Formats: sequence, structure tokens, C-alpha cells
Amino acid sequence: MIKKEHHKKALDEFTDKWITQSGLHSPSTDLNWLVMQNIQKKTQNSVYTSLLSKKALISIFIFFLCLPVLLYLFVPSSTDNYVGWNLFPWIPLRAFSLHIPFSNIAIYGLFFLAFFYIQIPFLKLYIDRKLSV
Amino acid sequence: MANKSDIHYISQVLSGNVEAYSTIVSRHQNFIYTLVLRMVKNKQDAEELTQDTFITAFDKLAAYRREAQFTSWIYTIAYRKALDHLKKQKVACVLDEIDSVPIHKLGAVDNALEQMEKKEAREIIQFNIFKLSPKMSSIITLYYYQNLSVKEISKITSLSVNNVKILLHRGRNKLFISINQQLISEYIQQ
Repeated sequence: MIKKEHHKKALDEFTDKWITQSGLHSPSTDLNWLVMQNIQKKTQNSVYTSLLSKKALISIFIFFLCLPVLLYLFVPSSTDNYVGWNLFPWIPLRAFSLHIPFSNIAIYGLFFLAFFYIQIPFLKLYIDRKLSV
Repeated sequence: MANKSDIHYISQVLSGNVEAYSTIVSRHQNFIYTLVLRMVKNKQDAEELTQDTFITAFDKLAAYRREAQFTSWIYTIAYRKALDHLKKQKVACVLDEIDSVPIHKLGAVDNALEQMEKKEAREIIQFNIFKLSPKMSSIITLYYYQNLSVKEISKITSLSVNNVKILLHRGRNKLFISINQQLISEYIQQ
């Protein structure tokens, strides 16, 4: 048993000595370059492009920013609304009114939609700052 | 200046500095190529598989959990790619016969190799490692070059610890017998 262990140890030492001395094989010199080329192609392909252009996004943003103001100026007032159309009674708005009937619920809905879209760029900035490494 | 660890470069890559991956490739390409070459026994295939290994490792880098060593993780990818390649090639994994080891000749073989030119001795060892089966040669390579434990090798190769021990033991025996036979035949020819 001891002899067997001794042989096992001797063989292990022999193998260790000669295997480490035999060294490693080397691949071709351009292997690193080929790997990096492949990786760079992949990273270039995966760049995100938005559906809408920057100009289109800015136009939509400005429209929704102006929407509450437009609604306030051009939607005809009614006696039982809560938005306070009669804040500036001396401004002759009736001349500019569109005569389009809007219910109060529709007006509130448009207001909230406008504010929702306005907050998107701020939210994006916040998320980008938070997740950037 | 101390060498920075692999984790440092991985963090760089994940932050967006893709060029940092080139350092990881340079560091590990020789060993991975050697590991794969000894399994598939073909230089061209080994080159392609080495490239695939690094590309796959890059793709999965975000999923690398730092519980295991990065080297063990990437060696696992390389080993599996080599095995898949062998399966596709339908290379039969033949069971190696167990010959008796002429252990009394250990000293003589050691002396003979010592007296040779280093380059010649290296070629003899490398040639005989090539004769081993893919699993045996990969286990021998991982054990002796990287000083990995049997447990770590078991995780990389998905073989049980006992299996790894048996293959390691048989690999050593077979390698020694093969070198011994080659030296005897060369001596007789001379």
C-alpha cells in the first residue's frame, strides 16, 4: 500500500515536472485582432436608434407644452367648469373661440396628458443618470 | 506596476470600454488554445473554437456571476465548445486501455528527457499528450498548468470528482507509458 502511494507520488511529480516544462501552444498572431473585429461589429450593430427623429420629438414636446395654454385661451368657458376660465375676464377671448364643445372631463384629460408628456424628458434624464456606471 | 485583475477589465468592458476586452484575450488565449487543441487535435479547428470561446464569453459577460473565478468560467465555455465540436465530428470517445506502468523505469525516462535538448523534450511531451483522449488531455492540462483542484475541474467538465480522479490517474499512467515506448523505440532505432 505504501509502495503504491510512493509510486503514485513519483508519477505525479514526474508528470508535473515535464508537463509544465513542455509549455503552451500559441495560436496565430492575429487571433486577438479577429476576436476584437468580431466584437466591434456586434457592438456597432446593436446601437439603439429611436423611431422618431429629434426634431419630431421636440415638436411633439412643444405642442404638449403649449396645449394647456391653448386650451385655456381658446376653449369657450362654461358656467360650471373648475378650471377657472374667468380668471382674466377683461381679455376678450370670445372673439378667438373655436366654438368646439369640450366637456370638462375631456379638458381635464387633455391637461393631464399634456403634463404626462412634459415629464418624460425629465424622467429619462433621471434614469440615465441613475443607471450610468 | 502590478497587473490588474481580470475583474478590473471586465468592469471596464461592462462600462462600455470594449477595447479592454483585448487584454483579457491576450492573457488567456494561449491556455485556451492549448486546452482546445489537445482535445480536438486540429490547429485550424482549435483556432476557430478559441475565437468562438472569446466571442461567446463577451456576449455572456453581463451574466458572469463573480462567485466562480473568471478563468474557471471561461475554461468551461472552451471545454464545452470543444466537446460539442467533437460530437459534431462524431469522434468516438474510445475507452483507453489500462496498461501496467513500468514504474521502475521512471528514473531512466526522467534522465533521458533531462539529457535531451529542451526543445526536443518539449516536442516529445506535447506529442504524447496529443495521444491521450480529449477528456484525459483536458483534465491533465487543467490540473498541471493551472493548478486547479479536482473539485474545480469537476465543475468545469461536469464530470464527478471520482471520474476526474480516475481520468487524471489514467492520464498520468498512459502519458508515462507512451513517452517510455517512444524513447525505447528511438533508442532501438539509434
